[in-house]
Amino acid sequence: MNGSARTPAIHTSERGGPSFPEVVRIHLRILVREFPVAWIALAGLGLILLILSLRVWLGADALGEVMLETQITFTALASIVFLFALLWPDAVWRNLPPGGREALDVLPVARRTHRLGRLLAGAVLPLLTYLAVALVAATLHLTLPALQDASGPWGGGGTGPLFTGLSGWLTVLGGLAATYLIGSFLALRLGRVLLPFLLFWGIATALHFLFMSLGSVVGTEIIRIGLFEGAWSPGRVLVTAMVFDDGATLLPSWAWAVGLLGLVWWEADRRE
Amino acid sequence: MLPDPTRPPDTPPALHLEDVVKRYPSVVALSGVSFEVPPGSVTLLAGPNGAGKTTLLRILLDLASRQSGRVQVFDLDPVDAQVPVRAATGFLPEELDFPFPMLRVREVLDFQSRFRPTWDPEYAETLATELELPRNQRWRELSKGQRRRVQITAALAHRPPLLLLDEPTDGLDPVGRERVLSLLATHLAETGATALYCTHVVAEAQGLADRLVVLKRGQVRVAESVDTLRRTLFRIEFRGGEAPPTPPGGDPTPAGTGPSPAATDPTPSAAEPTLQRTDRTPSLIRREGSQMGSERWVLRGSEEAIRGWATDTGLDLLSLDTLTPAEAVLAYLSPNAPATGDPR
Amino acid sequence: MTLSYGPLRVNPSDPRPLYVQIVDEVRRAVSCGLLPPGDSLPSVRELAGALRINPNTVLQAYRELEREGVVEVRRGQGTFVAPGVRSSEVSREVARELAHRCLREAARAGLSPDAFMEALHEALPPTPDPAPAPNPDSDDAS
Repeated sequence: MNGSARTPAIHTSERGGPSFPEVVRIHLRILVREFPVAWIALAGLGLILLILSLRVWLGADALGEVMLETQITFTALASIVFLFALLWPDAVWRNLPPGGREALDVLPVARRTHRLGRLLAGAVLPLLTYLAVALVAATLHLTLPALQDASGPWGGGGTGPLFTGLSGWLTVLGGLAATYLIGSFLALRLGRVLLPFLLFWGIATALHFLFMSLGSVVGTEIIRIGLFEGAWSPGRVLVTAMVFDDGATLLPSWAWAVGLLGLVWWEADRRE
Repeated sequence: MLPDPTRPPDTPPALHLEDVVKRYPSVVALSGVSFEVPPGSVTLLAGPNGAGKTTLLRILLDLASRQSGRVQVFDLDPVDAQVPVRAATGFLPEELDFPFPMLRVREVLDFQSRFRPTWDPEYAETLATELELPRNQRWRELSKGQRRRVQITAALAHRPPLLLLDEPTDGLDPVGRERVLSLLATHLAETGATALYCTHVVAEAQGLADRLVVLKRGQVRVAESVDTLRRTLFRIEFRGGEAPPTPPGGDPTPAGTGPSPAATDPTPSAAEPTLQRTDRTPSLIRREGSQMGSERWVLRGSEEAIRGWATDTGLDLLSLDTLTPAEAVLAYLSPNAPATGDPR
Repeated sequence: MTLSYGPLRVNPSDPRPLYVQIVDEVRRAVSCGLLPPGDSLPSVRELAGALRINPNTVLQAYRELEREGVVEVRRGQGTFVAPGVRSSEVSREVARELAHRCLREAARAGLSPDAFMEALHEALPPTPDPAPAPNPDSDDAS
């Protein structure tokens, strides 16, 4: 008691923290506790999609009716899944704004490992929504091959090349990953997602109109190709890869995802 | 600090800071801070708000960067060894926030425990009972004091060899303060941990301290063991005369200015032990007051030297007393106290 | 503010160092028989917790008391009042300590030791029966 028990353990090398997969698991659990509504909503979406696929599978409706229904559903789903992937990081990092991550940073996990761990745990929910939608798409393609032949979800009433073949699936996944990563980067760096995102597109659109009104063809084209419609443009990759995919977006979408991953990797170790 | 026979003499300090500089764009938070914390000791880091205490703790955990200087926590630089340094540290932050406010208290502790392989569930349970934690309440529903007590449980339950405590009794009521201080003393006795205890309320924690570091405006005013201060810091009271005596070691307050820049960085002579240096020449730390014909000064120097100086000056010495740690802090925080760059 | 553990009382704002206060208090408790020889002292952990002071300080006090022969440390068991301790000797030590403190206070009031002693004699309660001063050790014998 007096002195003999008082031997300070200073061999810090024996002390460590959890591994990366363990960090991801911990944060996944926390995210479930934090946002129960989001996970319930995902389950609800999954249920709706399941019912939809079952109806198609069982041929309960006439073909035309299904076409109309899927067109509306898919257009909406495509937008929602991407919008969700973009804005979800805002929720993931809401209480961990820049300068307010001390509670994580004092835990025995390297700064980068910890942030990327939470980022990866946060990716599970968008990934599950992607899988849910992809599952319906697969069902549709199997039962109604005619859907693919239509010109696309916006025009002809089909799903277009969406989710057709490995390329179709991977393009969407790459675009989704890039979208989630840009959202995460904005959340990590600026603490908010929507405002800077809208600001960027607002300025881009304003510039676009400015060049158009000035009659500057070169300026207009640079912005149109570079930002909105080019195969490598963020507009194509981030927002509409799912909708407009024509095979040419596969490589750009993954290139964007990898590039953004690098950006997030670098950002995740920034001291505040 | 007591020389502990069980500890090898070459044990490295638990904390070693050497000339640490931290500048923010608009303010210098730490300008050349140097001191050491021996293992097993409790060092009170005192200073007014904004002295740089929190910044210092943040640098020790690599939560904040530093512009220059050397920092070692158990021989490791926290920048290179984020994980082991944090694993060895129980940190009590200044803020009462938790990023997942919807978690219940038991879930908050569970979250903490998953990051700490050395977490002792039994001890955590004991602490939670001792501190009367409302285990099923959500974090966002907790009062300030309850949040503090959850944080204290989390900081102690993994029995870290190092405790970094930033205003540990902040937000607690008087009873809670006593309970936490008592708990800390017990914890230190059981674990032999080293503690750096930051506070601007020194009086309540002075019983725990065996070393004092006084920080003001990013500079170390004094870094010394409480024992040494007891032997070298005295308050004298003497009958004031018409002409005030010349203070020993010169007057540190030339015409109302602060300590001169030259005085902030004296070159300490390595060959000269601190005690001997202060022994020989007492110096004025603070003029406390001059009322009703009596003057009170705080002097640094051995009792013998001060008495000798008083006799030489012909001072009518009324009393000579030691200072409590809290009084010593106050003396060194006075506007005219000399700054020291002496790392000892 | 005074903090106490049983009969042991310390005050962090007392000018005496805390470990000296603990030494004095243990001596006092031994002297007045509250801690008879062989009794155990509180553990370092207990005393530090109750007094809210650094455990090193308690350890320092116990080592000092051990050096003086007032207590003995038994490995793994704790600290005990030394069985052979003579409370009369401890009493004398307590008295000496008290005398020093009184004289310091007297000096602060500008009193000479003689003036203080005179006042002390005057303050003594009148002794109707001028019996010889009782030997403190006689209590133990009876």
